[in-house]
Amino acid sequence: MSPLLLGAVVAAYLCILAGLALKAYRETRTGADYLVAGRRTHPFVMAMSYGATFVSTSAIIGFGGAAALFGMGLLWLTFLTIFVGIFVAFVFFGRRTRIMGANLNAQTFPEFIGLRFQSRGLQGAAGLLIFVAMPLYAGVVLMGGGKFIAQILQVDYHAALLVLTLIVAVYVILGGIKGVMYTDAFQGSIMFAGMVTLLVFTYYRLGGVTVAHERLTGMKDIAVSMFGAKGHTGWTSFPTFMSEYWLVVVTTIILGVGIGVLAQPQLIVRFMTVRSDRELNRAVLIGGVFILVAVGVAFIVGPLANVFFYYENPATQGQIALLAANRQVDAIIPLYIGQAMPPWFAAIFMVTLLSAAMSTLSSQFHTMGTSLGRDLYEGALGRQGNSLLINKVAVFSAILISYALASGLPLFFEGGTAIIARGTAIFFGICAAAFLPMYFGAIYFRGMTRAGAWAGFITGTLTSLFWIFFIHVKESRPLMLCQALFGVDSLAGDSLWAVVDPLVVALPASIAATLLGNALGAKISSRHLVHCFRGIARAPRRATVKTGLQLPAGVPAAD
Amino acid sequence: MFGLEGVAVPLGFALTILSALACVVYGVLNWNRGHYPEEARPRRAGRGEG
Repeated sequence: MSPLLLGAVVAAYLCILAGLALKAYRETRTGADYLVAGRRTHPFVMAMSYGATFVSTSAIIGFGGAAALFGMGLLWLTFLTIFVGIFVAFVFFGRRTRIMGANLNAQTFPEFIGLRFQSRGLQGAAGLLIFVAMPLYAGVVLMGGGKFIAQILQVDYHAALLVLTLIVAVYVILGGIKGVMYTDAFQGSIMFAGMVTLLVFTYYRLGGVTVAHERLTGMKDIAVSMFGAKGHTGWTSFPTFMSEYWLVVVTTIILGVGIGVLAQPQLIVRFMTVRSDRELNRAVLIGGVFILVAVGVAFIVGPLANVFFYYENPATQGQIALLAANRQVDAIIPLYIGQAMPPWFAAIFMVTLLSAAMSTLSSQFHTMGTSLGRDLYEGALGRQGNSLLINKVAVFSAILISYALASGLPLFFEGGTAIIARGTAIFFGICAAAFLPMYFGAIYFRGMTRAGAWAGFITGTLTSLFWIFFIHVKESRPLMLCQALFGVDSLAGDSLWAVVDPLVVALPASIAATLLGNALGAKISSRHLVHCFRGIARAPRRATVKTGLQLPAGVPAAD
Repeated sequence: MFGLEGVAVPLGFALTILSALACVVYGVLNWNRGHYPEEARPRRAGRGEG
């Protein structure tokens, strides 16, 4: 790749980012601006930001690499991310969240929950969970971006990590959610263009859509001979039912992320940044198309990389993608870009992947920081002060923690582990188990009690953590707590339970606990419920929705 | 279908395309629904953010 071309592309990219960051900084004057963009975001910006936040290097490098190993069965995750992550999320969750969030004047997801259930403790606990668990997710995304830069530019990983962190830190700290969303929209547009080009080029190079798929299908015997014992049946067919690979693909990758997307604090807050339902309706169209391309392409190109490395690339002739990349799952996509694509595209795609990493990172930093500043410091502890400054300091702290984690992660986990995809799935799973029953109940059931919310939150969190530390061997082994206490990598031993994702157990447990706690707890006052649900029952097919924005900022939500 | 094997993967492929189409259709049909009226908008915000 020409250093001049690469330098020019990166310089132009950074200049545009700087311009958007400056615009956001100038428009951010209050805490509400910093946290929910004044609730007046454009639908394009909102949808692209939602999508770009959701689709990170995890989806492209991590899950694309995982698809190169597991095959096109991962397309089911693309389906779920579009249907559940966009359609269900926007239509069935987004509208109610937007209206209730404005009724309550909530500015973060934990604050939304805390105000709905009239519990500062719940707000603080949710904020604490986000602040403790999200650094892992941010750490792996940061690591993915850092590794990619290091590989493309042939520089030291830690130097790449530092520069990447600093760039994102500047616009998140200065511009808040506006800085995040403006840059997300720009970065999402780049991702869209880059992924479309990648798909077209890959199919063209491998002989067309059907021919490329047939060539991959023809490699079935290779897959079965190498991974057949674990349930692999070929890259264009699904793993054997209830085999090890089936459990990983279905429970961790497809369900973990596909269901977990509904309960992501950094995504939910976006529903509260728009002015009316019209913006959400428009965002469904934009988001659906964006996710189709941004997620779907990685899951198609990843498996097809096997055809390229095995047949087309002289340097890796006779090697499947995993072997060509020295068994480093996370290195498959960058290697494919470097060897299959023309040099000019490598420069463009570097910016695409940088965009994917930075757009997710910026939201993660912002969400972690606001969890610390808004939810823990101001909310749970009740401290007063300059809200804007408090949240900026908190975001800075979150960035430092994520950076430290990303520096240490490559030493902690084995190289062959698809840690980017796994770290993402773990966080999505924890969020689903801890937040989803509570969040769903909050916006749909007036009879939901505080006790029910607490019961689901605690059960979901503890079950997830127990499964991660003591059962799910992919995590329990490197975490070593199970080994230290019981002398084994997993309490499940060699049984298939050791590969069942925490979500599959923790979410049903959380739902059951929510229902039980709900039956036992005291009801929330009807006056508060009327305030929360004002305007939600009405669903006008046309014209106006006046609800939601009538409550002036600062009006207390509690009775 | 499209050179893919079995039922599950082609079905996943088809559902992916169909779900994206559903989003497009929903967005088009509801493009102007749920609009917040101009006269009721808070004055402070001025021009749009986008």
